Amino acid sequence: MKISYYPGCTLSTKAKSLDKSARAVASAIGIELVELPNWTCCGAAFPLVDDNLIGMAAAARILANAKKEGGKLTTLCAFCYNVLKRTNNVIATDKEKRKRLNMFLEEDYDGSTKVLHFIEVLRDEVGFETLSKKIKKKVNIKVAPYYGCLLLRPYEEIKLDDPEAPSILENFLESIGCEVVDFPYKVECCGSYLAISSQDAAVDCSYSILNSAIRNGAEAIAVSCPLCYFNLDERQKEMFDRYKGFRGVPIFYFTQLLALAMELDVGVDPNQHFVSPLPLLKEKGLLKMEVTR
Amino acid sequence: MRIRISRKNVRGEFVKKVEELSGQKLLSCYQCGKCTAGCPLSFAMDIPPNQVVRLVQLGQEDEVLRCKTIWLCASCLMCSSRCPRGVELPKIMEALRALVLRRGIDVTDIPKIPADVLARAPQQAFVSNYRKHTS
Repeated sequence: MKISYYPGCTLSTKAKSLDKSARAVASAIGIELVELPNWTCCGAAFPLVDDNLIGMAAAARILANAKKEGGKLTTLCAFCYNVLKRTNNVIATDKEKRKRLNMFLEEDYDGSTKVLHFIEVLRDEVGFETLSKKIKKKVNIKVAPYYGCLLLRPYEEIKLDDPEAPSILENFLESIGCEVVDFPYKVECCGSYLAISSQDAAVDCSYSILNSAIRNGAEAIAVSCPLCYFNLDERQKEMFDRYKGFRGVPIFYFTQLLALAMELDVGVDPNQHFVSPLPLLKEKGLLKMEVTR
Repeated sequence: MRIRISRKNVRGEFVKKVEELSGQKLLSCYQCGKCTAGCPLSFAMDIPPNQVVRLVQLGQEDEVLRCKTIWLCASCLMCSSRCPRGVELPKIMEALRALVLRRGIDVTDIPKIPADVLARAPQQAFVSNYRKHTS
């Protein structure tokens, strides 16, 4: 199965482990990820004011490009997914905005590219049952799935899963042998871009999420967004200082867990984790020789 | 503090501009407070989200544009996913931010960003923060 792949700027640098583990598992499953040629930044934030069309130009250009490469596009970064999907909706439904964007970009795009998050590809194109037959080892960790906000909201435009009680990550985790830990903060915001301008507020948001997961028995957290990863992993440094008794918990990208289940030699770089996952993986017998960069 | 409510501010330019930029009918909000209850950042805000809407309904431009709330909104869309009236509060927040930023103001103080954040934070954080908080 072939599908165009949009990595985005973060996956090419700070979130390399998400990109590498995704490419490895895709190849092992039989999905050919064809990187979109000449891709540029998607803009990260979908403009919420009505007159900001230029904010959609970058995403529109990517979608038009994807249409020329087959019309099906997958991405792993929740920010990119959200911007691309919402821009696509605007182009498909708002004639006036479509005309103006096409005129600006000198394109003739109609909004028909299908934008899929990689977890959607695994659920809808591969199937979690099929996936469970392709793994070599069960990931016997108690994992709490953390969705964040951009993967699910606004539901009317994203329609990936129920925005209050989703189950896609739970079903995925069960298919690779994890014991799923449900917790009430799984769709709460981690603080997002406030990590730049209001660090304290973002740390508090992230702490609430981790604390809830740990109290419900989680040994690890699975995320799908590099910014959630940063807020939940890196900021544990502040949490150890601020909150007495804070135990800390390793954070994984969901593709890293799949890579572990398929015994692929990639994805878990201890340098990219603030809280090292190595002790946990060792304890569970999931370390395959050494981990690589 | 003294709040002045008159036809001049309730039917004034500020209210019109916010409605135009956000595409929302402000008077649809009947102040149930579900947005504030669900907002993960409300603990840090000076004016709770539903009160921001109320103040905008009453045309209180100065108070709203000076609050910290609009800069603590993470655009997580929890509020609008729960609003029983279908009011898209994130769009109202963005409109209020735009009214400040379009005066040429940068709210994120870039030189003050800590070194470890600059070194370790993913690009998407910077791109989205600068787009939402700088002009």
